[in-house]
Amino acid sequence: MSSVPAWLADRIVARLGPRPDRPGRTTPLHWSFLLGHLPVIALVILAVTGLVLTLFYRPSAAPVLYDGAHELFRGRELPHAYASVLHLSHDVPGGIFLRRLHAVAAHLFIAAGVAHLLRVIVTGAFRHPRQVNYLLGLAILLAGVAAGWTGENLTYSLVAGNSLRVGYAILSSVPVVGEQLATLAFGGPFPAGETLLRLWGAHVVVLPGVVVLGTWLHLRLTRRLSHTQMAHPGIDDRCSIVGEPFWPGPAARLALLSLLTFGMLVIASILVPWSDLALEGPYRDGYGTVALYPPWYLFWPEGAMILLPAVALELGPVTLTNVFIGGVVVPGVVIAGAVAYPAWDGRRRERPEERHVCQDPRAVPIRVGTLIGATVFLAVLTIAAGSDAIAHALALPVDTVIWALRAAALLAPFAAGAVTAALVGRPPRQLRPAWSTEGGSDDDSRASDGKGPLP
Amino acid sequence: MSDRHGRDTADDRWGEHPPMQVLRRFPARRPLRWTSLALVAIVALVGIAATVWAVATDRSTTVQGASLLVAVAAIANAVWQLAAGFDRIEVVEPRATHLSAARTAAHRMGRRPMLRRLMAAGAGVVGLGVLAGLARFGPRAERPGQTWRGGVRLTTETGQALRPDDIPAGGFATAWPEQSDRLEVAAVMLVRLTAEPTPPTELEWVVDDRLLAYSKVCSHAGCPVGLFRETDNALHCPCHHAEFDAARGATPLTGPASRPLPQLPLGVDGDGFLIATDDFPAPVVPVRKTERRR
Repeated sequence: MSSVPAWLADRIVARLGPRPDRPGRTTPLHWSFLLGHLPVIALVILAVTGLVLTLFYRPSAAPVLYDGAHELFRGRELPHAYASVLHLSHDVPGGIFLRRLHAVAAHLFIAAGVAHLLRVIVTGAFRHPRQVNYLLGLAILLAGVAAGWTGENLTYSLVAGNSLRVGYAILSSVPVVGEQLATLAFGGPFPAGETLLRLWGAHVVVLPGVVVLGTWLHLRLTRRLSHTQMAHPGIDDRCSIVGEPFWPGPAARLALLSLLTFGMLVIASILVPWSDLALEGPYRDGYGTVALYPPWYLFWPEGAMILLPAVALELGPVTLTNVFIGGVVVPGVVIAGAVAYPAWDGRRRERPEERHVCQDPRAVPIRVGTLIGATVFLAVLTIAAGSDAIAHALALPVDTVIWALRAAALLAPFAAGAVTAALVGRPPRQLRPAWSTEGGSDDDSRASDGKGPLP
Repeated sequence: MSDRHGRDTADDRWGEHPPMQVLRRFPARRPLRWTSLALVAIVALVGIAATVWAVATDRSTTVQGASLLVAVAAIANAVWQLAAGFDRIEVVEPRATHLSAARTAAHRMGRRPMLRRLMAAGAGVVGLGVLAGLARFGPRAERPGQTWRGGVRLTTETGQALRPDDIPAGGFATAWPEQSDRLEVAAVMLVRLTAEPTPPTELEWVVDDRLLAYSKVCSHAGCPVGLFRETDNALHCPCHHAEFDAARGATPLTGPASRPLPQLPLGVDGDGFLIATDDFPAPVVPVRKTERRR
């Protein structure tokens, strides 16, 4: 049996085992609910690695002499920011590992955030009383994207500097207040000495503050309203929360997920040379390279600017350019669509009845079709950012690829959305009691006990 | 029948605050084995120590990561063993579905369209005020001084003055004003075309019939237009694939740029070096239509 003394075993069981007196919140179970935990894990890793990174980074573009271990740059004058990152990567033990962990955790934060958003939209978890929580989640995601963009460009490599240049041009393209906005954000015409300091302040203080505060409010609100749950046959889910007591089951599950995710990120950091700067070189004014890209989650505004034809709409003293429409209007419409979607989805719901049950995607085919259509549109824009790589791979002129993608961007979303809605909306062949038969956007007054006939 | 701690395990009710109904039970998958837990804990400690050693002695990233992975895997295994060693239950808890006072107030306010419209209008007015304030009092970008003047030599990045013979047919170079701060807006693409340029190119600003210079700052979003295709004399910007016809005044051929690249008036001085004979005729950076640099 066991060679451990009984008192020790009892102590461990009492502390780690089930606690009927303090069970914690009843937590509904489903694998898709774990998607929302991944950004939290990524955030913790980002905060810890980021704290160490701030000890080494210098937010200045002034030239300094690099005298470190990297042969390519030893004895050369480099921007201070780039030199500090190079120093951390090659002269500090564990530096490159730390940087790779930070970069890959940032990618996970956004990818998992998007996956969680898709789950929330498909299952209808944005409905009353979770409207504010949905908006909080969107705000966290947007702040995360901004933090990722500023973070990648703090390194001031050749790619990073040009990405900053495009960002300055996008801000400048806003009519009437563009120049003021760009000067406020960048501290002067690009490239200005103030720019890196302002971006660093945004990346280290402002944006993490927004993300952390938003996440805390988001989790607190989830706890107070209770997490949404799948339908259960024979139980009125509107009146009951069904799940496991938080301690020890879900707590252990979340701890295990955190450790496994961290392990995956460590493996990714070993195998993939994320953010290997030496190959790019420092930013020099007026120089670029063939592969100029923003981070992957900002490929779609870049693709919008590539696919939109040359535009110069002159409305009085104001000129609307392709940069404004592709870099401001298109992202603005996409974000506004995400913010306004719950209102459109609930347009025919009269009473704000509280809804806590996840909807079966098959009960909401229009919503799934719209979501797939929007995703395909963003996917085509993302692919368009790599038009030159596609043209090179297929040995076609870049112009041909761009025209093909323009056609795809206009036709594919509607085709994909319609096909998906048609496929998803077919009535299921048999009654599945594990799923809610709650109807779509317009008819939710029925009890969701799963025993009624199909709609 | 009660377990060692006096809890009645056959009871249908569980917990007191609030009382919960047990729905399903999942018995522990395996008993807690203290020896295997202790072993895993030792492996975890070894892994952490190995990671600290690998970082301190500057081993490769693979070694650092692998030792950290060992520690993480061991801790994960310990957590799994502990979680699998206890019974689990699924419970049903009554939900508080009444709207709280705050939510009721918000709900009531939301149902009053007039109040909502007034608030929206107020927010709109505040927003417009902020925009107007920004437009009127917001910080302006300082214009960089005149970077090119008549008589300024074209140099490479290292300061070496350029002669017309330095650029072969179909070749190009990036040039800067001599003794300048290498401002981005002053960068120039010096190209020798493979065909005669035609209007709207300013033919007086061309040297040797085919050697001319355009601003390197793309008129779309300002990326450096650093690619030149000699077969059709096209300047290509890598950011958003804007193309300009260098033989026809750098007018946009395809892509998202809508304005041509400004041409630098080129000449040769008495010693045979390339010089600019004047500044750019049009602003280089994307500015509002109502603003001109001169």
